[in-house]
Amino acid sequence: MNIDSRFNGLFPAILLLISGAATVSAMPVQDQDAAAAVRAQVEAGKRLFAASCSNCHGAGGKGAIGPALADRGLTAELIRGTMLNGRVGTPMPPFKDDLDATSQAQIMAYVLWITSAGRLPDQVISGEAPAGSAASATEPSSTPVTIGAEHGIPAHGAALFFDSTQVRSCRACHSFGNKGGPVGPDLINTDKTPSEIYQRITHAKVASAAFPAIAIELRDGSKIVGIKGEETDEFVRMFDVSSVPPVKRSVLKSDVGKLLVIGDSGIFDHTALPYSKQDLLDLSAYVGKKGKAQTAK
Amino acid sequence: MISLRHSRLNRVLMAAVVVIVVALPALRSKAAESGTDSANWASYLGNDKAWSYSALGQIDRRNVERLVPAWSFSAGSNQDGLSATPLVIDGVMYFPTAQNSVFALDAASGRIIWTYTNKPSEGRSGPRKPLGLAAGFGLIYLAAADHHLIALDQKSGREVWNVEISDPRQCGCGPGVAPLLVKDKILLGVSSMDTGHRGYLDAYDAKSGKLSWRFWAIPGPGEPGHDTWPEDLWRLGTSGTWLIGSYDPELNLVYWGIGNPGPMIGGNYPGDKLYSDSVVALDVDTGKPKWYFQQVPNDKLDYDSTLEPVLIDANVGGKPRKLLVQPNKGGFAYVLDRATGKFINGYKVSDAINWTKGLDKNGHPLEPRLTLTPGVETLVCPGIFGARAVGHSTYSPRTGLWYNSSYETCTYHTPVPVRPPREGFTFTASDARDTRIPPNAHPFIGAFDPINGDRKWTYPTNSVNIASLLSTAGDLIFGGDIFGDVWALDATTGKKLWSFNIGTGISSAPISFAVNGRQYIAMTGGLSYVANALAREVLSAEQRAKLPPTGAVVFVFALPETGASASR
Repeated sequence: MNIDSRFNGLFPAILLLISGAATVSAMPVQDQDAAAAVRAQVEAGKRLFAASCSNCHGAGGKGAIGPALADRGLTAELIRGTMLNGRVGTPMPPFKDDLDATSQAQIMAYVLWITSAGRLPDQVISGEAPAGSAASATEPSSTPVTIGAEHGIPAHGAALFFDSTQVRSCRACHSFGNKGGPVGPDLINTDKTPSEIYQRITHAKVASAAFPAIAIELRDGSKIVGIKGEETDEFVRMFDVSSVPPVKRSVLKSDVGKLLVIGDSGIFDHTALPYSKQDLLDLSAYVGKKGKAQTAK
Repeated sequence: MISLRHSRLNRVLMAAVVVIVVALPALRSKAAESGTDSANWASYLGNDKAWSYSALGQIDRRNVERLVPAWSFSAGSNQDGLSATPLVIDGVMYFPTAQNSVFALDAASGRIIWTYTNKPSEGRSGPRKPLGLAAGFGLIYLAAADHHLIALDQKSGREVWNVEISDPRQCGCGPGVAPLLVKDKILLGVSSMDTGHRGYLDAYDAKSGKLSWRFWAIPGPGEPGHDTWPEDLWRLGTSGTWLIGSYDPELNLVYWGIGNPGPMIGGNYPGDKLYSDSVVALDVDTGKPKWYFQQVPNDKLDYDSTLEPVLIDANVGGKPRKLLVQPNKGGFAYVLDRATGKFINGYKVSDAINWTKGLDKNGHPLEPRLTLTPGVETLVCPGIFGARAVGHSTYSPRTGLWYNSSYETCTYHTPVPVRPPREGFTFTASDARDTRIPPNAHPFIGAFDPINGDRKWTYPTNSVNIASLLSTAGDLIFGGDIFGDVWALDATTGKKLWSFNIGTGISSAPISFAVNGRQYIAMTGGLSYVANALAREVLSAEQRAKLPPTGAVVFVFALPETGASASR
């Protein structure tokens, strides 16, 4: 049986219902040019919303997998904060690094319009976020960085660092800019230059003194080796990096026979990773602290 | 042509069982039937074959009307409800909450034995909440929403090891609904709600937590099938593995369903895009594919093949065959030879289908399929939640029938220009509007001959039936609805025999277990985020007003101790 034919009766009724909301209606904006600009921003936002938001929030923000936004009376602050930073504990991701300021403002204008039952925003929404509420998108540079006699390209390094088509890429263990794995500090805060990073990841095994390699001899005689994690009254935690992704083990202190600090000589062989020399240069250029001295030309 | 000797055999078996019941109305443990210890419910789907069947028969068609609550439990926060399937092992019930807590309760009383809490760090929650656990080697395995696989000590609940599989802030992904123990490995899929990423299925060493193998659901450069993807789309072509699989120990194969390719709806990318919308058979020890069967080549309508592959042995053409029966979101079920992947039969499990007129002799959709035109609103059936999106079916070896729910919903799609995929962001090319149950259509549970697809009976559900189904050796089908009714149907006729309202909507899976010779039925309650969305989308305003508030509860039912046989 053909389902379309069953729907014939219902279809025009539904179209009629939604047609009222299909275009931006004129609402109290004083100046005609300003009103046109506001409408244009809302219309632009509508297109972006359809492509990026409606899959979860439903067409017109009427709700689907995600909550309805229409007719909710949401405030500009709440919309901006949620769009940029996501909502903890829900599938809503942060969009701050992935929408430019213009797109953010357009989506905000559209959501403000639908959430206030079709009342146009009073003015064009500024692309500038209030101070401190959002970081501007920082794309890694495509400008080569000098490393000794060689060059590395940060943008290439970023792609390698976060390459999730491979199990063994940097982000499995390390974080950069608040994304990535749990071992060690966020590398965006490193004080090492690209050259120093390159030296470290191409020579021997590397670990930070703040995250020493340890060996635990258990009371049953077995031994485990890893990067030291946090310690509680009950547990010693360590990252077993003998496989990727690393396995964080919680060892009961009462099970620990001996705990040996191997030191910061490291236990993970970065040179065994499937990176070419140029890959390692690119990664070093991306991760290393960039000063004027390191930027070529 | 397909003959079905197994159903006659089952009638003989049933007659034999009826005799036993009359003579001995005690707990009937039929471990041989289910391949598991029938007192326990030790895995998400109850056994390796994805049957969701309990060999306990103390509660049966004659006495089910006397079923009453034995105990209930409130799991605390009601955010995202409680849709988890509990495990019960040796009198202890284990289940996860949407907040990544795990409770261990005395399964006969509901008393807390231990609680594990693990709050995901800021912004790190993936799109799905844990719906189940695995157990083995003295450990309980939790796939937490922030994409960690965590092993807990079964006795104390303390964390033993913890693997961060990926950062949801990068991929927008998280774990599949539940981990699955197969031999010495924990298998776990990936779920993204259609963000751009490269899907995979992982196997971890169950004792150490080390990654044993990763099967990429999209072949990489140089691998067979890679050339079915245009340009660089393979890197972000989705193809998630977000439900759960089954396992044949004799063939040493695990069967797993793969989700739709990106973009989810629409787009104009050519190619079959393997292994999207396929069921794959993988060697358990290596993760290498033995065979695959793609149900919807070059899918542009979100017809994942992620639903449970049900393993059934039956005679086909006079010969005993090892079969696999799998429903697809597109509304068809596929019967395959599970040793070879050869297509044997396919049939409709949904009435509301308009994307193809049927399947050809190879099991592929008949052309021309429904196509979407940019800017033109088109009604697509099944809609974005599929003929069924989550939950699972049940197979009863006693009736020889396979019981499956169909939502019978359609969605209006207006294709929009596809934007290049970005990792962690929704990858679709449609503006979806209004998922509805069409007039004249009605959601139902069907009792199918699993091989030839004959529908023996149809039970119309009061709306979309999101919860999973359970069959028991008492010849009952248990389920629950979005308005809070837990109910039992006669497995042979579809007649409703019992119901009890638990006060909150149900999108979970009933299970059955026994403690000290007493059979119990357990059901968790509280609609999940997705179930709430689907329910609210399809219900009329009048029906919506009748939806109970979302809670987070466990209800456990049994026959009254007096009057029922509680003998051991």
